[in-house]
Amino acid sequence: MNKLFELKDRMQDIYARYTVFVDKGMQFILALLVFHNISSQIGFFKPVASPVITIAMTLLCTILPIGATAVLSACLVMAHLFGLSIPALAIGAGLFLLVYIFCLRFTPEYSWVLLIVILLLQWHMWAVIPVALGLLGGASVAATALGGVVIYYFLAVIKQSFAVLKTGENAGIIADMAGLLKRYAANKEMWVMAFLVVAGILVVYLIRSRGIAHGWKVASAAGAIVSILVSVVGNIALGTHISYGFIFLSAVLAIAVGLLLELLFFSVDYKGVQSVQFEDDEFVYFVKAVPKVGVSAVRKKIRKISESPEADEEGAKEPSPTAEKIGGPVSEANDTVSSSSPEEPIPNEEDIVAITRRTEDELALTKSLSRHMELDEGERK
Amino acid sequence: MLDKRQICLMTKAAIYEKTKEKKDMAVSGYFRKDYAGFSTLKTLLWITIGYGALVGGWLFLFAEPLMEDVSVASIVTLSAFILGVYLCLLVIYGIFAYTFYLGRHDRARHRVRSYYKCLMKIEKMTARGNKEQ
Repeated sequence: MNKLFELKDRMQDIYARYTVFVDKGMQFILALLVFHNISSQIGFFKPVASPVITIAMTLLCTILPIGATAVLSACLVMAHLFGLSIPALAIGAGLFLLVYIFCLRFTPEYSWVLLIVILLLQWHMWAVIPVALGLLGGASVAATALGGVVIYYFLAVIKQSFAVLKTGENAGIIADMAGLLKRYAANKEMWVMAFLVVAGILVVYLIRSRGIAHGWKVASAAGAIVSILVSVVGNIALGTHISYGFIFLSAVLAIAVGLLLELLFFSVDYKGVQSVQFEDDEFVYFVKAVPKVGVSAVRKKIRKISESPEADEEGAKEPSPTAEKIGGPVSEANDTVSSSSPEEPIPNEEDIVAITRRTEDELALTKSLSRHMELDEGERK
Repeated sequence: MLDKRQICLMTKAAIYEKTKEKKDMAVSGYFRKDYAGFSTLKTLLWITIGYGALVGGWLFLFAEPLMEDVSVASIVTLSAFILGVYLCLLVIYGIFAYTFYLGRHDRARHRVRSYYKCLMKIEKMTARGNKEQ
């Protein structure tokens, strides 16, 4: 377990150091997956479906804030619907408007959740949606996730109805639109998934926010159970054809994702729970304090003292080796000082003189600091 | 000499100013219930527009088959159903929106208060530094 916490600490360290690159990299991957998914599913408008356009749009999304990815995805879908037929475009535009009004109004900043939901549904990992979003988000994310489900199944219906929409021009625009809507509303799997996602997120969120011991684990398990139950009941009662293999596989994956998220975002030690009770004039307080778990990774520093003056110049950019002389012994127990190795050449007199000259300023600064902080009182006495 | 604590506080304040200050100031400018009420009203208006568009679109597409066997009873039933769904939506979204916006106001107010505390600390530190100089 300690290894895992060390790994987490290292990951946090790396993230802190390269936040911009990590964020932008993840944004790039998300945009690429979404655009590729849309173009491969409903790539009816050939000029927009080309890989060059996909890459260009992905790069644009990487530069822009994350909310732009959702907007550009909607534009891409509309372009492909335009390539298919006007009725499909009209229905699509209306659907996006309704998704915005009913699902995205509260938390427009979480529009990227919608994209992740679409991708997870595409990969048959629907049980991961309630667990991940219920653990990390609030109840309002359920509405956003619902929007993702609605859009995903709309794209699926469009893909299935491609032939009808292409050849059914003689039936008239209104009849085409009505037919498409009927097929869309008759998709029972969509209703099952919509219920699964909303109910799952609410259950996971409610359990997680109760403050019970091992709440995150219990919530993850509850989310997985809800997703299994809803899918199985949907299969039996509504006659949907959700694969049982995927139902159980996605539930197992959801629990794994829940454990991973707990490790990354909520590491506490329930063995060290402290319960205290106190009161003031107005209230009696029952406080449960759970200690956080954190194991900091061992950081090794390697310092080199080289022979050539050029390398010394380069080495000056690194922490100075003479710091030991100035500040006393190095505090980190795990430091590896290469000069202690018997194979390393011993610095000659010239080098020592050069190093001493170079650190004159540092010595002066240290002396003035110690005088200022009254650390040299002992010496004076 | 540089004061690490002051730099930390100044960085915190600057990050807040850059990210959330504008929105939080707009939110905390209202009284709690006024903000929640006004925002809920706006949400309900949007819901009305959305539901209107949904019902309008549905009637536009399916009016013809509906008109084939139309009767007063069926029209009344349909209207009652549409109205019932609308009222349900209003109640659900109303309760949810009111709770949500109350929470948002509380969080914004808390952040603004912390920000002002941070500014006051910085001011005190600066004044102390000036005196020492």
